[in-house]
Amino acid sequence: MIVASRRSLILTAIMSFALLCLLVGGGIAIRRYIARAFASSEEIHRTQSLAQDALKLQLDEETGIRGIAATHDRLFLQPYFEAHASLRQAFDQLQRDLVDAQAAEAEPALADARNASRTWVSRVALPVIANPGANGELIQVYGKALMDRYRADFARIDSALTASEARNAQAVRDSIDRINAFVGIFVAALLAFGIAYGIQQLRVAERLAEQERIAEQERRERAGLRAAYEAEKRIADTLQEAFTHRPLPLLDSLHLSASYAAATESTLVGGDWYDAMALAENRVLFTIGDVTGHGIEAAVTMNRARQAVISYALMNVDPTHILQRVNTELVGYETRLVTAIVGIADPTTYEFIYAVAGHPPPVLLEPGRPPQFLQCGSVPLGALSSASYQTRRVQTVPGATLVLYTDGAVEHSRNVLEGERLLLEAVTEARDQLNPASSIHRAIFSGRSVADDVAILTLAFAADGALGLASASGKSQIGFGSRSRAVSDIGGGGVSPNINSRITRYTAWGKMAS
Amino acid sequence: MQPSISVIKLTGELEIGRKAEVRGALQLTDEQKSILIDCGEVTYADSTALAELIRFRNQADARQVPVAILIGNGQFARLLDYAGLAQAFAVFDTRGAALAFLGSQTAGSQTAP
Repeated sequence: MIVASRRSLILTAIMSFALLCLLVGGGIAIRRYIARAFASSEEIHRTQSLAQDALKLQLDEETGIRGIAATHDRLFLQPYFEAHASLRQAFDQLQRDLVDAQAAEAEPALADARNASRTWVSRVALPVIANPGANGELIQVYGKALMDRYRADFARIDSALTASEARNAQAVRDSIDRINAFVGIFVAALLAFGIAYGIQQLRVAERLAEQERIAEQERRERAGLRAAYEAEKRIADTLQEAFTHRPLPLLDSLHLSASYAAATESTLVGGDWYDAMALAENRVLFTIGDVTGHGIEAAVTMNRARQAVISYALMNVDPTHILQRVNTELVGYETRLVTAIVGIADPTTYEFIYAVAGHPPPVLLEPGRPPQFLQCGSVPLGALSSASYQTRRVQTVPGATLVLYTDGAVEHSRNVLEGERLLLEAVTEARDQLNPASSIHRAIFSGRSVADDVAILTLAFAADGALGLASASGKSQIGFGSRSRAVSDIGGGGVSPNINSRITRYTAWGKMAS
Repeated sequence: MQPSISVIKLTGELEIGRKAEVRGALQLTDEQKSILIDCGEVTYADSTALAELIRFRNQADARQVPVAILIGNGQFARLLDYAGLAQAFAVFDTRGAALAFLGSQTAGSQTAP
């Protein structure tokens, strides 16, 4: 836009300058034409009157000679001598003026007139003056012939001057035509310039209007997009709020904490979830999971998976059984993949029983020991109809904490090994914290922006082994018959040998859950 | 007889932005008799990329085409661990071992009726 207006400005300046030059140049030319035409006209008129004078002077001379011839009175010679004195000058002047009056073609006539005049003086005037009585014949015959010749010469001069005047008049007319043409051209140029300028301005205005229209459209589209974005974010937030933030069970024997942080820079909600549900005999069913991608679709898949976990858990709490049922349900849809961990924490035996489907491994933190990753590894839910999952059991000690998290907690730097190292550090630092999940999140991200959603769930057995009041009535709420099957499914490789070996060494350490 | 082994090479960080690219690379054709997925230069793979690997494995399984994955670093190996792919695929950390495995698989399938 700026470029276009600058170009039009330059164009306008150039055209204005051209018009100004045309005007000044044309004005000077017109002035010169007119001045020349008038100067020529004056010159011609002066020459014409000079010619008249010359003719009159010659007639005066003749009158003088005729007078003396008739009267013999020398008084008549007065006009002759006066005229004779002026005539020579008049001829010289005429000679010059004929050229100026552009009537040079009359020069031979002038020369002839001069000759006639001289001849007349020498052959007629001077003899008559010498002898006024004797030369009447001379004047009548020879003198008349010379005078006729003289008159004829001046008639030629006059007609040459008239022709010159006609030519000059024609030149003046031509000049006026030229002036007219110039004025016409100037007016036409002015008009053309005006029209071109108008069109240019119109174009600029049109372009401006077009740009404003586009800008307005873009503004509206952006506003629409933002509104749609905000609507999706609102819906997704509402869903996520409803899905994920079910209150955690409150037990004396098992302390749970959780943290959920949405991606800082994304308006789309993630598909992370965690959940925990109190079962009979103080046991707690826990689950954490993640759906690939973001947005409402991911949130819906997440809810479906999470609800399926809870629903199947109500029928059979065996984690492998739950994962297989959820997998079968999800494989039916050509949908996103889901990674999940489902497990049971049993405060009476200090056992964690869990199964993993493509999810990052849980971390176990036992009193007096560095934290370590438990075994994991099974394909995500929804990927393979033939997928099989494995229930693993970890025998721990009072005060032991299980940390579950979603991949955002370890993959934030794109270096998963480094991410795991940072996570273990964070878990170590969170050992005695009241809310370990929040502490771990803070330690990992320490105020940095979060690129992906991160959910963290911790379950800590009470350090003193107190079972709490809820266990007293301990009637199984959900068929616990599955428990034996869950245990029987556990393969030898399911539990890290070093964890088993430590069971007897740590019995009542740590204050994690206090 | 020289067994024909198709090599699919993936490099860099496989993330959701490259989903279409990864899916385009992981296409099974009729001519392929055995496949080596060369992930030696993969440093990261998010769950979408892992999902594409699983899908590819399913297709290959259905057609009984043996697939081996070559890994180049611990990070990618760990991500395969997460997804349970270390068990689902034949994973190798040297090209020679992977090719030898595929060669034996193809030879085996040829001798078997």
